[in-house]
Amino acid sequence: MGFLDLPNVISEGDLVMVRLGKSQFKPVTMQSGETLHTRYGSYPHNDMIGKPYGSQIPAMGDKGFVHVLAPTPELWTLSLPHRTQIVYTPDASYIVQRLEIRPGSKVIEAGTGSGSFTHALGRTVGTSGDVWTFEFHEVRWEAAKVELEQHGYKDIVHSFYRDVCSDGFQPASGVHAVFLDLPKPWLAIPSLPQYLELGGISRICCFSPCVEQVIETIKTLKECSWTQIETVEVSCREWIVRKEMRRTLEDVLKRQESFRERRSAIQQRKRKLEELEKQDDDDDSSVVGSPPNKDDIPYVDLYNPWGKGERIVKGDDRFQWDIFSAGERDIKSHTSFLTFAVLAPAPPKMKT
Amino acid sequence: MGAIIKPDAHLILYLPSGNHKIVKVSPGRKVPLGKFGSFDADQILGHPFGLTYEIDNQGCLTVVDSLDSVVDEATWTDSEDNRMLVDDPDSQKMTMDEIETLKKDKQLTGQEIVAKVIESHSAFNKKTAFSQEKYIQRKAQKFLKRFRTQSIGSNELMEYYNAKDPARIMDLRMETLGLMLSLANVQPGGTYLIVDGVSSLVVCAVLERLGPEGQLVLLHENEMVNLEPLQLMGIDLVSDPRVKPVSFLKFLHPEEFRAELEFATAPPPQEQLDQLKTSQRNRTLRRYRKAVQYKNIVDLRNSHSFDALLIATTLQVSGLVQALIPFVHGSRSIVVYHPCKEPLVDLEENITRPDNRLIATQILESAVRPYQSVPGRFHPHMSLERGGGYILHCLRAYPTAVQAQGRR
Ligand SMILES: C[S@@+](CC[C@H](N)C(=O)[O-])C[C@H]1O[C@@H](n2cnc3c(N)ncnc32)[C@H](O)[C@@H]1O
Repeated sequence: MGFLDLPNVISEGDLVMVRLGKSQFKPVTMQSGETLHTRYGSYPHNDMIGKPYGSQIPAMGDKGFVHVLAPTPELWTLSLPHRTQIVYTPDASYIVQRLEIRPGSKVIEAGTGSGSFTHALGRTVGTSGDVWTFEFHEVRWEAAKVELEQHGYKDIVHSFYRDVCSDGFQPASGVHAVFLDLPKPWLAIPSLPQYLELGGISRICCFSPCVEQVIETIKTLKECSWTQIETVEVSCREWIVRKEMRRTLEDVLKRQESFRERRSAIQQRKRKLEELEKQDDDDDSSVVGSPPNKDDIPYVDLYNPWGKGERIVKGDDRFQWDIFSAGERDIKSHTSFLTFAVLAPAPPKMKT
Repeated sequence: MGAIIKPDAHLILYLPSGNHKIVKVSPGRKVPLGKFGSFDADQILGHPFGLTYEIDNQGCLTVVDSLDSVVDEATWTDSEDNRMLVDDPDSQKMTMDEIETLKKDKQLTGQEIVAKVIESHSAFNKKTAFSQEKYIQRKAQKFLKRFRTQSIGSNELMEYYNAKDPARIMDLRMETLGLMLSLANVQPGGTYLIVDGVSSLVVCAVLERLGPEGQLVLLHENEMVNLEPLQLMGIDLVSDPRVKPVSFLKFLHPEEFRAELEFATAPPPQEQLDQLKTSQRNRTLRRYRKAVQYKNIVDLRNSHSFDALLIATTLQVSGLVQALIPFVHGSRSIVVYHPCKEPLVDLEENITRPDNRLIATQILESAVRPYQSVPGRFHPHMSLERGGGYILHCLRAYPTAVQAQGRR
């Protein structure tokens, strides 16, 4: 089963995304007889094969569990072997929407790198579309090509081992969306028109980490008649929901009141003890009564509404809880500038 | 592809001011453009989308490079800095009256006027390249009578509503819409469940990615679904067979509509139809077709296998998601948009986290920051900083009968 088949049930040979942690996924190919060993226990593949995707799988003779998920370009991006920097989902999703990539679209991509973005492109163009992707590093090209084929993109993604700056984008044709994630996109831009769709709008996105690259790219785009040039940056943060015990001012006041009560109780006790001692000194035999007793003196409990000293589980219903959210730092590990531009179709003869 | 402008098409026209306008182009008709005058639609019918035109005083169109390109920039000199520039209101030698004369009597085009205005600016060459470009842009916005054509899709729709009334799309932005579609793994051939309180923008965007085989069930909160507004922009959701609208009541409680479902099991017998008057017969047939469509939706519902649930609504999302969880297939996504974070925080805390049918909950906020890049300068566009709204994303899971320990 490929990424594009939207399978319901796990079969022998499927690539399954095993969820081990919050955003930790392990791609595993199902082979009956094999076992997946993790620090959350061991999981025989036979326990997974035949189960619907999304199932929770208990560990063999253990308390742990994992979930078995169907692969998507987004889960793949989180788990793929990094051979280069990659494009993450917040950028990838924006680029696809802005370049108006749709089923049937014909797209150029260079370089392929680790193939992260290629998966997202292939998913959206589908079997009626084409992605021509180019990589000039042989080992990387080969690795990405093999992965893409295994993942069911054989008829959609066409991988080439090529330096696009010197040798262009053959055999791409009828293209209307271009994505360049290269150190020097300006060397590849001039040859593009011959591969683009005649009489249609073409859109490009160049992905560059440095301002100098952006400036050079914009210059070349202008020289090559691209218009509507705009550079943007996408930032994406995750918000973490937290539960915090509600501690009110009223409770603080009550508590401080109880400090005061305790203090005055202690003082009273001290005074009483002193008085008793004095009496002892004055006449040691004339007074009949019990000897001074500490426990007779009232002891004041401190008001403590927050379970001090106890180990409290968040959400314990003896207490009140507030729900907050805190922003994490950017979820991508590196940011780049995205430079977009549009190439208008060749003008037709004007009617008069 | 290479789409061309067909008779009676709806287009969006972008103007140099940054504004836009939705128009319909019909053969033999004029297209009104406000203070630009109007032009005959025939001049652009059959053209590809994406061209920029200049309109002259007679309504004649010429294709030009872009909305604001004016004259050959290479012919100007600029200075390294503006130390020579004196702030002088008289540096522009031309008066408004003179400009009007150029327009009216000499019949100059916007482009020629802008060139003249620049020429007569005594200190133009003392400006830096940066401020030259700004100056030209300002003048271009003022004098150029140009527009660019574009077909209307989800991005254009979003731009249109953002300018007109962003509340109608709950301030949804391109980066957030794109992220929703990716996280929901929307792809050709999929089957999606949608709650759209954003003027059908999500429906429209999902359709763009569905291909001919896909389908979507659209849950609506009124008596009838309202898909007409998009009709006015040439986006036909009403007769798109991939769009299957149904009310929440009929979706969640099909047991209350048994009669209709039974009616759908077999077509009305011919002999019965023959006895009816034409109008009655047509009504019966229409009722039958609607019943069949409803049954089809209920079958999809009962298979509990939607490929994603996408929500953008002002309805309270916590209860909504809770009611719809069972219909999503395992390992598929639930994606909820909201311009405010609080409803999603509530959803995560009270519904998605405690429920072991849902895993991997995340609240994300994506925002695009545009940069200004003109010769010699590159910095963020401060005035354009803004938030892009929030997305809650989680995956549907099937818990084992014996509840495993721990929470991840
Ligand atoms: C940052 S990576 C691309 C990552 C990719 N977008 C992803 O999401 O996985 C850049 C790749 O471009 C390749 N490259 C650089 N210059 C190239 C050229 N002229 N022709 C083809 N590939 C090139 C590099 O070898 C590298 O693998």
